[in-house]
Amino acid sequence: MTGPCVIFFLHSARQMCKLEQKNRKEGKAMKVSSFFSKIRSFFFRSSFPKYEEEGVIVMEREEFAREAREEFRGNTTLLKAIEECMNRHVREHERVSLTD
Amino acid sequence: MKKICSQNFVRVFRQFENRLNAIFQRNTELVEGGNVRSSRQKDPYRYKKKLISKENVTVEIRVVYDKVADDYLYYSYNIFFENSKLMFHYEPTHKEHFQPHINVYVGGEELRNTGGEGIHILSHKYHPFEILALLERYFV
Repeated sequence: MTGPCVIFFLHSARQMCKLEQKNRKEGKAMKVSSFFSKIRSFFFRSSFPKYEEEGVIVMEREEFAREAREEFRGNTTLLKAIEECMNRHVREHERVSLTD
Repeated sequence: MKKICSQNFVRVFRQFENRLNAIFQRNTELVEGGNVRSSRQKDPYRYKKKLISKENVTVEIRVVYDKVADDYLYYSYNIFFENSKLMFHYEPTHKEHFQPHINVYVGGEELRNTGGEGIHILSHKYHPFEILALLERYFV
């Protein structure tokens, strides 16, 4: 959690510096609302970069696993393969089981 | 098969979906599914679709695609028509069959050898657009 927060604040500070420099050049006072809109756009862009496309349903992992379990019920070898794929690069507590 | 790289999977299946709906537009009775399902992590993509035309051609599609390996984990494109079936399967965990393969059923009976064993015809890994071309050519 600390990592993303630090990155977020560093980015915010950098954005603020850039804005200040720009405003100084243009001789304008910086608007707080424009600063926050910059931060908001950065936040939304970075969180949902590739799921804006039409026809894609983005789900929680548990929900995704539950649907896969229902769809391929009885096909244990395939469920095992999907399970392995899902648990490949995740932490222990994030692991899901499709074959229990 | 040209790889459907993970960034393009959504685009490929969106195009597939639009085209499939377009070619069956006037004679479709039932449509189910059709969205790409995904999670924010590196979990696989899933696509599922069922379509029944007024001429009773049924198309059933189920695809699971590994984003990281950039390859199918599973696919089945099944076409049912007049008591016959064409089934395009890829299921690498089933090692007793050729993978990928095609199953043919005519008049409700699977194509079998003299020993009574169902014949799994070895095929290449099908791209969704190839299935689309087949559907357009023979089933619409």
